[in-house]
Amino acid sequence: MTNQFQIHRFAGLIRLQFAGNSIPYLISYGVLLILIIYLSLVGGLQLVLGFFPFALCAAGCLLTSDLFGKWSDTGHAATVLMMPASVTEKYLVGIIFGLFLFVPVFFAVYFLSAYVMLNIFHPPVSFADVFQGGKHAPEDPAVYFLNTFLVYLLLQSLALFTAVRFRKFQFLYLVLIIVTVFVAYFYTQYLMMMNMTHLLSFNYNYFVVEGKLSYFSLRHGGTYPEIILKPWISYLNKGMWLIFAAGMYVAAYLRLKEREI
Amino acid sequence: MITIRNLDFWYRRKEALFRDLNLELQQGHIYGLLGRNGAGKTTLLKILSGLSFPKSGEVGLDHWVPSKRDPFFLQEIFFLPEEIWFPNVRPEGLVRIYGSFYPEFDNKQFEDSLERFEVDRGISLGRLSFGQRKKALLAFALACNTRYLFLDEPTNGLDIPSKAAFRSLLAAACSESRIIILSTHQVRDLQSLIDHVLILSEHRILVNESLDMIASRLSFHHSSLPPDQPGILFTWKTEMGYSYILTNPDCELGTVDIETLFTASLQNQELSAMLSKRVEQRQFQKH
Repeated sequence: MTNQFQIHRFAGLIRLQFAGNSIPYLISYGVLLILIIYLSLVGGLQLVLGFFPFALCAAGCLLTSDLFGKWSDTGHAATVLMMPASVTEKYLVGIIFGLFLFVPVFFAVYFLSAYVMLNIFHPPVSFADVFQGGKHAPEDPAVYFLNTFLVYLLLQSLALFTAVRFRKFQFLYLVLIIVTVFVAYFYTQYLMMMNMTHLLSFNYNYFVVEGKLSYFSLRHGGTYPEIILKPWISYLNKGMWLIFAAGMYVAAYLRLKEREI
Repeated sequence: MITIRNLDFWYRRKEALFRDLNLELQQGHIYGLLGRNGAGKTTLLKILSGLSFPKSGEVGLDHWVPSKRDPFFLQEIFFLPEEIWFPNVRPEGLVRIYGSFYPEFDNKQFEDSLERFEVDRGISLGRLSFGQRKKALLAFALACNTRYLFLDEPTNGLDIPSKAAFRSLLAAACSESRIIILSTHQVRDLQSLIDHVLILSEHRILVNESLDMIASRLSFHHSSLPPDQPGILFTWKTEMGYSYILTNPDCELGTVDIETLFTASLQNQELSAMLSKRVEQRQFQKH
């Protein structure tokens, strides 16, 4: 077992992850702060909250690509692969920094900065307002953040896999895969909608965000009727996303074990 | 002991880098790994370090299989390639971050080596010059005291005093339990250190012989005029005159000119056959 996991080695890897990265972390925070100032100035509460999923996913995917891209780049890979620790330990460090540590830290930094900026540009704003997007809250904040986290899991696992699978242009491949997956996903829903409604319809919603499907119906005078889904369909859908993400994590781990330079 | 049996390796299937390569290296030696550009010196070190996997054949470092990258194996090996990334920390930061991963790491040895190399400890690695950075990493590699130490072009970028310092530090680091492999094009820098020569050419090990054995069979000479003695195996015109190799029937041990030996092995079939025959005989006896 000690050749798979040893706390002493694991702690060493965590220490290594922090070493020499303080400046990139500060620069990233600077970029995020500028973005929050812009969002606070232009859009206020709603835009700050609405932009959070995009900011989280983009920053997380970039960080993950950077963390695991080091396994592929010749100069970096020699250091990473030769480090006397198991692949499991090295992989776990990447997962901790790209997921378990990143999400809460990003969440705290984003909303704390947003709270300060919104209070400068649109005072007074309470903490609760920041999380709810003001009076026009789109839904229960807990559900909103849970769904955001689900989407993040999916995208981050894809970022992880592309960073490990490809030696070059990992981020480009990631964008390509995300676009492909989402087009395939929406097209499947579109076909399903056509089948369910027997109408000329265009689906613009997706399961993860809400427990309903909306479609554009010509027969009903160009309105947007809704089909309320049973909760289990929504859960099943989210479950599929989770299984997909888990599959990506496992595939990336197995790929890392075979990584060569 | 390092054992390679029937190793095949390629980056592209049609262009094999190694074909049925066999090699045995013993503890307590400093091996000089020589070869033309693209002969596969760095790749061989990568395979031994577990950074690249053989397409077929077996590679073993004592009881370890490098491709499994067992953490306890990785504690026993240090490979310093020409291009390597380390975090942007000061030299002592390397000890703090990496030192604990190597059980035999000797902090005093590291400090002494930095002193000998005259590395500025107050500057982080990213801000050091190429040569200074290389010296810091060499000092670290030596201080890890791993059983297997592989250095790729270790003297590239070092100034003359640093090369001398490196030679003395490496000589001090050599012990009966270690295998040190130096891959280099600059043999003159390391001639006094190497006690065993490995020459890679055309997918295989062309020469695998100790310098003592080579010196007992061949004698190396230099003259300003073209040599005309009988028994000349190889003559090489250099800017300084003529280097040539004779058979050594009296077995008097002289100095081996590794640069001339390398050139001769690649160009003179008879000489390389004479040296490689011994390798084959030795392998045959072992089997």
